[in-house]
Amino acid sequence: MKDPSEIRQKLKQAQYRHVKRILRGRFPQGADWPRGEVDEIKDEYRAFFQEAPLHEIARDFPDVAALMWVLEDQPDQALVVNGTLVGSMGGVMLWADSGDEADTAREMIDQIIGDLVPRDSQLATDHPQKSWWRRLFG
Amino acid sequence: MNPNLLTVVEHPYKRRPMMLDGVPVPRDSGPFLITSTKATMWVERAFGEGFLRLAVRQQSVGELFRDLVTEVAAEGGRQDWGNVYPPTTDGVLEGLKHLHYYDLPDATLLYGSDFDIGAVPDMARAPADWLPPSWGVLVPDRAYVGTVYLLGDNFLGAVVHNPSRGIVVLRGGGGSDPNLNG
Repeated sequence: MKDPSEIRQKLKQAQYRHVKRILRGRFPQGADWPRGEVDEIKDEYRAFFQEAPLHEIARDFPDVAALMWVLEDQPDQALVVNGTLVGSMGGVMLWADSGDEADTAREMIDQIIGDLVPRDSQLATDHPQKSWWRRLFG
Repeated sequence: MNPNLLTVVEHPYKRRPMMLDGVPVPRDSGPFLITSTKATMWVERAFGEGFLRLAVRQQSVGELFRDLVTEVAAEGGRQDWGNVYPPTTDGVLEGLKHLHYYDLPDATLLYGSDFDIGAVPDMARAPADWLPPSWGVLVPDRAYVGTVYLLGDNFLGAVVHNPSRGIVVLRGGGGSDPNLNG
């Protein structure tokens, strides 16, 4: 696994390669390139790579965007962005958009399960019933 | 010479994700062929300004490339993209015309172990042992074609963009089914 410094190096190489290709497309090979214009183009793309949002960079330079994306500080990602895990039923993960909605969903499911299970069978157990999601995740 | 189908990017993750969310792609370069949990799947459009969600799964890069090329060839045939040719001199020349039509010069020929390389004009080329033996692929700069993200232990996620324009398949016999190759 490459560490971030190696990827940063690859990113620099990819940016350099693209700028070189752009310069070669604008100026004839074998001739002296105008230093001022060349520096201006280099500065323009340096600023673009530093300031443009990722999706704009991806439009023309998807490999550069890919390297920048993996270098972004990515906290341990949740499976669903901004999602809260409600629970799992039959192997299917259930998600809600917020913690409150997840609580509401759990209460609803507890209520449905409570309605389905005969009250006598609940009373017959020695241990107090845990909610279904606590049994799975608690 | 680079034998890869896609740009290869190693992902320095802190904890291996189950999916890659918010992967940037060129917005107008669909349809996209992405990794799903078990195989590959086509996605017509990117989300928002140009992002996709890729499943991470365990597979060797070679097998992945082979599956992607086989699927691009199949879809190219179904959709009449004009990007599938026989592995012959004429096929290579037609394939190069296809890439030039989309302003994609500097193609590289990737070829399998039984591909008749003597019938190919002088051009950049690289053997690709992941291809079915008699197949070849013409690809431009891999940045145009897509990215595979490597997460170690053969876990990976991938996206192909511009498949109709940027990947020409020189389809021989066989394909993903190893019993048909040779």
